[in-house]
Amino acid sequence: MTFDWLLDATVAAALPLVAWTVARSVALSRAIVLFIAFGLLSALAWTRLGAIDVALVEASVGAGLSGALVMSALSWANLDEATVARRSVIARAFVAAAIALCLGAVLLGVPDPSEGLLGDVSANLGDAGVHQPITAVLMSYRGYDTLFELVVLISAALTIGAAKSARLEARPGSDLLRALADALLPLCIVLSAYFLWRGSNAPGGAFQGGAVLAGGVLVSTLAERLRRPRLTVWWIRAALVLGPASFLLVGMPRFVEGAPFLEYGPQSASRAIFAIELGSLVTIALVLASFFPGVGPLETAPDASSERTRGHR
Amino acid sequence: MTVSGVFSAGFLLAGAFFFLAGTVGILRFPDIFTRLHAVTKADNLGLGLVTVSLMLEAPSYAAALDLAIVWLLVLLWSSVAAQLVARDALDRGEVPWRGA
Repeated sequence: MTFDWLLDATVAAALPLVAWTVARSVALSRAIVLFIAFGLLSALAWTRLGAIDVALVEASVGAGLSGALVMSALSWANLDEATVARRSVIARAFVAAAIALCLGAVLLGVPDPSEGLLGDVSANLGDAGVHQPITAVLMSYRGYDTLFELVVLISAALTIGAAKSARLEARPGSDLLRALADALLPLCIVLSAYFLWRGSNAPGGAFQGGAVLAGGVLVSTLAERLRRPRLTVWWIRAALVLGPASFLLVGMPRFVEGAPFLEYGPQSASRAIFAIELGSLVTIALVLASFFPGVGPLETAPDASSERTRGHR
Repeated sequence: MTVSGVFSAGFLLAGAFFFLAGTVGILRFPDIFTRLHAVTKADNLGLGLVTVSLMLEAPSYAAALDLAIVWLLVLLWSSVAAQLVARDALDRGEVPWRGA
């Protein structure tokens, strides 16, 4: 006898419930904690749907890094203004109905049964150099998309680098956090390398590995073991563009010979994809890590600092 | 049902009991320190028992080891998190509960 449906039903019921409580929370800190819980629950839902790759990204980026980002934004928000503004029930109902209508139209517009491209991907997996269809799509068939995604990520990191970096205040228990960071960072490095290695024939790859590495770097930065990556340092700049650079370096030789751009050739495809994934992992980790911490509001007057560290007497 | 299956079910039920106790503690205990106590002690014990139960049913030794590592990581993280939350609460002037 199997009780799988019970687990699925619980997750399916909990997801809208938690989403509803996030939307209803007036206290922002509470909403953030519930938002992180929502991310972890949806990672569980993706796992149940068999999409392990999506689940890994959802857990590391959707719940972990986004949660930390929103939490750090809260630490410099002016809490008096930051409570949720009350709007009329009619306006909210109107917005909800409009969104439901759009989503419903999209859902009903999908041809049923939708075949997707899984057949084509599986048929050509032998030439791609990897045995994992998702890695093959990301790095080989749709290499263009991934290349330009990395460029978008880098421009986001550059934009954030322009924001003024606020100093972190010393917090109680920072000695403990330092000890934890020292234990976690090596583990995150090993884990991200493992995800990268696994990506060629199982769920994993540069994005998951990069997110895990960024998580380790983030804990170390919060514990003041590492400094926020400085874009003025030459090797940080070099590491930041390593992903797109490896795409171009690997894709260029065959392009010069007359093959389509980013066509790796069946013999060297496996090594080419691994090299690109390694470069992309460094870029992704560095971009995600440079979002944190201490990116405060631009107008931080000296007397506003007491507001920022609210409650620290 | 095999012998290990019986043990596995027993550990699972015991783990569920501690999770239940921890949850009741979060809801019923009077201040942040006692609630932290409930969530980090009872829940981690419950998670350990559930982990042992799943390790008994694991398809391979490697999978069983993975589960053990998950539990150790949660222990490491939650012990530090509990200390951080408690110290921050003390720093904010939260007074520990001294009995009704």
